[in-house]
This record gives sequence, structure tokens and C-alpha cells, in this order.
Amino acid sequence: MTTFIIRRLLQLPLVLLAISLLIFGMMQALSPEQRAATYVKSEQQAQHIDQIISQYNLDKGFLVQYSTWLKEVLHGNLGYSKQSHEPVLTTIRKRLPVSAELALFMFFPTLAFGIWMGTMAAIHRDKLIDQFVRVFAIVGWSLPTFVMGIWLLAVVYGYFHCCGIGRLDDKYMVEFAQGTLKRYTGMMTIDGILNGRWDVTLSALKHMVMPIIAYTIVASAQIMRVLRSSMLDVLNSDYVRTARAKGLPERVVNLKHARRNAIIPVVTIAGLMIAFLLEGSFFIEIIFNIHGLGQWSVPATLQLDFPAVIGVALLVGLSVSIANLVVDILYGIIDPRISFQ
Amino acid sequence: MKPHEMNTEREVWYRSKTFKRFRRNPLAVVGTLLLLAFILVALFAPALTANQLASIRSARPCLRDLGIKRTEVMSRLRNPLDPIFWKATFAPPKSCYNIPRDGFSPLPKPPTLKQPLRLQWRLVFQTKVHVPLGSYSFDIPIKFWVPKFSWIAENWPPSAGKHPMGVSGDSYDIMYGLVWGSRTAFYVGFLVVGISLAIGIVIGGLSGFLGGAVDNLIMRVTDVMLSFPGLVFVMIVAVIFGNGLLQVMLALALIRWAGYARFFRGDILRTKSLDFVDAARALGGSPLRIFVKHVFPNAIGTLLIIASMDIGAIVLTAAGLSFLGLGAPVGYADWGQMISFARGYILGTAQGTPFDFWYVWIYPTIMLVLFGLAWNLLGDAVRDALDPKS
Repeated sequence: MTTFIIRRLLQLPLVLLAISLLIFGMMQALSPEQRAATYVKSEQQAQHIDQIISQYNLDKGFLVQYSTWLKEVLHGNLGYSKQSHEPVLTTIRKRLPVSAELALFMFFPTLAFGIWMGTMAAIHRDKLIDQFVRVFAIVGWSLPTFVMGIWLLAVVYGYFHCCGIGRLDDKYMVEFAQGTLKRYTGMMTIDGILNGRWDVTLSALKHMVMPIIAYTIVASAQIMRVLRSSMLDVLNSDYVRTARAKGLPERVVNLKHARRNAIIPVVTIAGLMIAFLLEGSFFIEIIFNIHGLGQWSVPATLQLDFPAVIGVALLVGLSVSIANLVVDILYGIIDPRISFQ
Repeated sequence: MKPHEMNTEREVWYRSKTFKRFRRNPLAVVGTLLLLAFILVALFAPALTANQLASIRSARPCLRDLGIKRTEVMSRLRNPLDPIFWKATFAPPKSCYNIPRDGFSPLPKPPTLKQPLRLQWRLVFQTKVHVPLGSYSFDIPIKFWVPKFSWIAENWPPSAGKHPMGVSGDSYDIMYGLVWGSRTAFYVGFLVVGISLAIGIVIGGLSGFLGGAVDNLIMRVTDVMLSFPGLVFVMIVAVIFGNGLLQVMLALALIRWAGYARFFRGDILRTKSLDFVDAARALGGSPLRIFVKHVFPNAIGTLLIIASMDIGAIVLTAAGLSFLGLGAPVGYADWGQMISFARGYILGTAQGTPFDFWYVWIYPTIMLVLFGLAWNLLGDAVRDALDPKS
């Protein structure tokens, strides 16, 4: 187990290196003058492009350029974003907590709802709830997040005037701007508690209702499908029959014996979900006007602000690699039978 | 056993158990019918939108490239005996994929569909009955209507008008966009699957055939590709190589091949361990011959089916990217682009009028979801049918 974790940890830098090589390789299609933007730290510096080209070896060979670039990236210089008018790293620092908060709040309801409905469907096979879950799963599967988001926006926000868009009610945003409320983490729910203001936290939660519903309906469908089918397999197995025969209560058999074993494929799905959660929240951020990474980097793409895009790509690549690592290790903890070969 | 004693029933796909299982699944039938409807709409897009092509002035480039005059459109584009009909159906010029715009008004306009079957009623008799109730009294109105058949006669045959589904902001015709957008959807789906499948088959095949260090290296590369987020990859491609439908499709293909390569490699390794491959080896076949003649044809079937069922998911992804602005430009017949363009009209013009411009965003989203649903119903049924456990 320990050796596996160490080996897996050693793989991480290699994967990150490969991702950075891929990104840097693609950047070679641009001219050195354009690429200089990824090294600039302020707008004044952009006046002296020739100087930057020679300083960062942009006219040298690929490997020299790559090592220079990597050194800069590791020192936290990701260039200057003309979309946000500040260095890329500064913007990422501001916006990452927003996206991370959103992603966390979307992840757990999705997982819980998916596991709950999947279990119910398998236990009550061919009953009404099972039919509902099957239809729900296949419809949710073909419903992109952005379509669900638009429908919710029109009906819940537009028609019922409920659960506003953005991150907070306007009056709290004003208080944050004036400084009566302090930003500690950038995550509004936590900042509300740290400021000792429950109303701020509640407002932040209220504004997250629509994103959570939109994401849950779409993403839990897959968890339901997978859990239902694996649970049906397990419920037919011998040891479940044995458990029933020795007179264990139905609830214990279903939840302790059957679900514990059926949940392994769900871990795979959930792992993929965590990995791509940051990316999935981009659509949500744009529809519900939440000032996260997506709401900045997608318009940046359209403005050809590539330092921003490269920075976000590196960040998302890093988070995906770490998520994959964590999931691999989690496997062993959930199912000791999985050997680490 | 002599030939005439053998089971004469040839093994054909429509008698196979797999197909029987597929056919008996009601969801599969629904999916197939839906998909068939989409194929028909996509195929006969020019005939379906002849009305718009004839009546909207900015459709002129399309008509010019087809080589017909505006006055001839209705008669020639809907006549299967005319060669122009088949040219427009199978090889329409690129300019036809631009949605014609009827003017420059920034506000959407509602559908102009006439409803000839909605009866109008003529009031033929009207009176009031006075009911005195002590100090209080009231009137009961009595009215008698007859249907206005002349109204049907005037509006027969039913004509859809210029814009049966309304126009979106900047006056783009919505029905034209939806109908031609289904062509774009199939085009995107087939092209992305085709390219990624070709790359996946070559690389996965090499990996499975050569094995050893090459296999290991290729699998590590696919590891990296699989853990690379697709949306961000498309964003990088768009920012470096320019923003357009072609770039987005290529980017999607370049990110998706890894999954197919892995799947195909697995199938090859499974097939390699089967008895008939051992038999071929015992007969002295060279590794290349065994691979080409025995392993490859037996391993590729499942991959082709699984991959073709991904078309729906790819179209949904591509539409999502178009929604973000990555892909087709404004005015191109593409559902994602239409939804993106409709974004400003979802909440209506004033507070509390959310469904003012319902036609701008409801039609394209419904089309997109139905398209995804058709493929997913089909794909689900196919996977169930292929599953030996069921």
C-alpha cells in the first residue's frame, strides 16, 4: 500500500511534465512576439517586447525555451491577462476560491442524490421508483448542464423571482466593496461565518440553489445508472442470499452488505466527476453570472488572451492529476481486495 | 454431415439474438424513430426551408450558388424530379448554412404560423334573461355561436408564413437555423467520431499488435490525454489556432481518440488469447497475417458500434462549446450557437416577463435535447443488447 502510494506520487510530476509539454508545444504555433505575452508582468513591460524575447530565450531552441518557461511558471509568473487587466496568477488567486466553492457545493448533493436514487431503484426493482429513475437517468444523460441552467434561469429566476443569480444579494456585495465585510477566503459562505454574519452565508447559499439543482439533475443521472446496475448484480449474489437466510433485517442486508460492494464503480464515476468538476462549473458560472474561473477564462479565449487560457489550463491540468491520484488511493481504502500492482 | 443436411438458416444480423433483444426494447424503438425523424429533417432541409429561401432576401447567396432564381424556389426545391432538388439535398453550397436574416431589428419576433384548424366562431344570437330576485336582480347573458367555416376556406391550404418559428434577435429565422442545424449536428458528430476513431484504431492497433515497450509508452500517452480536460483543450486550440467550427471539431477529435485507442487495444488483447488465433499460429501464419486476417476483423466490431453511439454525446459537447462562443460564428446554422445567441433574451425585456421571447431559446434547446435523447436511447439499448449477461 505504502509503496503504491509512493509510486503513484512519483508519477504525478511526470504527468504534469507531459501536460506542460503538450501546452507549451501547442504554443509554438504562435510567433515569439505573441508568446512574449505569457512572460510579461505588467502593461508597461509590454512596451519592450524585444527585451523580453531575448530575456526569456524566445528565439532559442525548443528545450531552452521550455526550461526557461517552466522556471518562470514554477516561480508563479504566468503572464499578464488583458481580460482582467492584472497578472494571471493574481486573477487565479481571486477566482479559484469562487469556482472551488461552487464545485464543492455541487459535488456532494449530486453524489448523495445519485447514490440514494440508485439504491432505491435497485431495491424496488420494476416498481414505480425504478421506472422513474430509469427515465430520469436517460433524460438527465442527454440534458447538457447549460440547457438545464437556461431552463432553470427562465422558470425559477425569471418567473418565480426566486434564488437570485450571481453570488450574493446586491446589498452584501456593496458591503464587501465598502469594506464593512472582510474577504478572508473568497468563499462567501465561509466569509459570512468568519465575519459573524449568518445572513451573508444564507444569501450565498440561496444564490447557489439553482447551480446545485442544474448540476445535480444532469450529473447524478450517471451515478444512478451505474449504481443501479451494479447493485442489481450484487443483490443476486450468494452472500446476499446467505445474509437474508440468516435472518438479518432487510435494511442491513441492502445497505451494509449489498451497497458497500456495489459502490466501487460509483467511486470511479465520482472520481472522474471530481476531476472534471472545475470544468463543468464553467458553464454554470457563465449562465448564473458567478465570478469564477470560467466566467473569466472563456471570454478571455474569445478575446485571444492566451496567457489567461494557458494559466487556467495548467491549473485545471494540475487539479485533474491530483484528483486522479486521490481517487486511485481511495480505491484501496474502500476495497482492500484491489491489489496495488 | 452433408451440405443439404446442415442447418440451412444462414446467420444474418436481423435474426441474431442481439438484434432481437434490441428490437424488443421499447426505448430502442423510440430512439430509432426519433433519430429517423432527425435524419429525414436533415436530409430534406432544402425542401423544408424552401419557403424561407424564397421569401427572405438575404438567402440570395445560397440560391445563387445553387443556380436558381427566387421565383423558381418553391416549384423546383420541392420537386423530386428536378435535378436541383437532389443537388440541394446532397450537395448544398456552404452559403446555405448561413441563417438568412429578415431585416436588422435587434428584437425577436414571434412565430407567424397561421392555424387554419383553430376555428373562429361567429356570434349569431345574443340575448339577456333578466332574473329579478326580490330587491336584487341580475342578467344572465345567453349567446350562441356557430363555427366560421369561411375562415378555414380563406386560409386553405395552410401556409406557414415566412417565419413559422419566429425570428431571433437580429432577425435570424429560427426554423431555418433548426432545420439546417440538424445537418450541422450530424456533420459534427460523424466527423469527430470518424477522425478520433481513425486515430484510435491506428494507435490502439499498433499498441495491441506490437506490445512491449511501445505498448507501454502509448498507454502512458493515452493516460495523459484522458486526464486532460476537454473543454480546456478546446480553449487552448481556439486561442492559438483561431476560433471556428473546424478547429473545435479537430480539437474534440484530438482529445477523444485516447479512449478509443485504449478500448481497441483491450479488445485486441482479448481476441489474441482466443483459441482460433492459437490455431492460426499453429498453422504457421506470420504475426502480421494473423493480426490482419484474424485478430483485427474480430476485434473491431464492438469498437465501431460503441463509437458510433458516442455521436449524441459529441454533438451535446460541441453545442456546449458553441454556447460558450467556441465554434460556429453567429448566424451559422448550429443549435449551440443559436442557444448562445438567445442568451440575452431568456429573461425577457423587463422584470417579470421571462417568456416574452420563449421561441428564441425553447426551440433550439428542445431540438438539442431530443437529438441527444435519440442517440442515448439507442446507445443504451445497443449496450444492453451487446451485454452477454442480459
